[in-house]
Amino acid sequence: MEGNISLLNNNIISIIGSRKCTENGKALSYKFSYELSQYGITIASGLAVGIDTFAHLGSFNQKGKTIAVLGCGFNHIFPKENMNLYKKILDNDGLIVSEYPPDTKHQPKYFLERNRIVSGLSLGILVVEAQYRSGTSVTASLANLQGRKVFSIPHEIWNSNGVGTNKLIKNGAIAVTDTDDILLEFENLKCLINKSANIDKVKLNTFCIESKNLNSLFNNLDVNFSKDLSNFYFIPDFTDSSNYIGFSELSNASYKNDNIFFEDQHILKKKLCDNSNFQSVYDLISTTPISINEICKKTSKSIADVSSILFSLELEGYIKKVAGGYICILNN
Amino acid sequence: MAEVEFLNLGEISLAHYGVLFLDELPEFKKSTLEVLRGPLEDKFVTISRINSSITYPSNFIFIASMNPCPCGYYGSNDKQCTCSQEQIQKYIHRISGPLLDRIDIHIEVESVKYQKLENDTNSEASIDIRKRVNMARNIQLDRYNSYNIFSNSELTPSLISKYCKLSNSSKKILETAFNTLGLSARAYSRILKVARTIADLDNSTNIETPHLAEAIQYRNLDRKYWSK
Repeated sequence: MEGNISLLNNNIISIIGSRKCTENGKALSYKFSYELSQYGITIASGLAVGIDTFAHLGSFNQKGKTIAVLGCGFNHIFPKENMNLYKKILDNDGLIVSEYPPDTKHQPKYFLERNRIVSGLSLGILVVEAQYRSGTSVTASLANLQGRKVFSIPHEIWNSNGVGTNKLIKNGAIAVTDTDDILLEFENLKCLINKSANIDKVKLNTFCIESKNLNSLFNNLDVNFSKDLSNFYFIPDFTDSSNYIGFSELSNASYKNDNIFFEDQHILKKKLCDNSNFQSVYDLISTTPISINEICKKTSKSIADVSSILFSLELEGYIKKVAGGYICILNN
Repeated sequence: MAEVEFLNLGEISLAHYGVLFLDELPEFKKSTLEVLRGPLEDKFVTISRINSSITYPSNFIFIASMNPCPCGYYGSNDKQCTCSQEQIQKYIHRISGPLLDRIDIHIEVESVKYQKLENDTNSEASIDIRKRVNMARNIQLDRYNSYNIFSNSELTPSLISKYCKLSNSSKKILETAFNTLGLSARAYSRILKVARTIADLDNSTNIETPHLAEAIQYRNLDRKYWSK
């Protein structure tokens, strides 16, 4: 063990899921981790890529603490990309647990073995995304054996990343759509004294926008434009039928608070709805990637039109480019 | 006196004023691919041997194709990709950043289904495309008449600043695109040149914002999240 050992006395909830996850899954993982950790719950996960990474990242706030359980020795952190995360967890007064001698290299079976620790440490586990056959399902069944509560986020039935979670729900796991669903199960625990505390919830699109540095974009614009044009926001000028991106005025805009932008998003959304060109493209984009060719075919627009629309939607943080096409960023 | 050995023309020089097409780009040896950097930039290739060194012209259009991952299904809707994240990463990284920067347009294409092969109704006829391309070519020939170059791809930095002027809002967009989409700085002039070409195809004298937006869209592989 390395780090703050007293964390083991805390109330721990594990957040687990596939390594190969969707953007949606990352956002969900971050959201639940962020919100649960604000209630003083310690988040445990496996320091793997995908859902695990975002579960750890979500806990990095004032109250949050996190525990990572390794499937390898301390001298061979796997995957290497997460070395920074490993350091960050320790800087953040977190805890790293491994049952293997320091020089042990990672092996697939170790990861399955460490899953029992992940579930054993915690009061309950939250499964964010799981495919039909996955290590995540193994952890869930272990948790069941150990008498831990299993929470699972329901997914669309077509979504291959949701087959495992849906199956868990069918087999009796508790379906979760909000942090409160989890807290309800642990109502009698003393740890949740600060339950009434004012918890700021993560809006999914807030998270995505932050992750794309859009925030800094708006700050930059602030520097350049606020002096003379304090009421100007950088948004596509949807009122202009020619689709050109320009600067538009929003009457109640203010730069005093960064978050104001997010509150004002519904205004942008409304503006989006006003322009049929943007709307027709945006309507086609869902959580499964859609390619630009498909969009062109379905809207019978030229590739030039569509790509400029997609580009401005992307800059605005409505959609995101992933392998295979575009996906929309979900609104809470 | 040493006998001057005749150096055979390689593929690069044979493709002079033509097209060099490399199928399955990542399957080429890394050293072979890196050699392409010079000819792509300078339009000539210098071959040095013990006895002689010779420079051949190599002004060609470079086209290459590749799979997104070793199994070929990464990002596909039809079939699950079986590669690990590491394998995908490794596969994409076989093409180095500097080489990627010298390629103007990267496009992702999806697999074609049988039904689509059958009824592709609203595709543009090749003859119309040719008209459009010829028009754009002629515009460029006229424009660069006095500079001894033919096309946008040959623009020098000073000519770029002359002919690829951006409006203030376009500049802002380019800047934000660089910050948010993680484009490499070397892509800058490439994007401008492509935007210039798109504007020519549109028969527009200035580069308008949609032209620029389209050009930025064509740099898929540059983006951080595709390779991540």
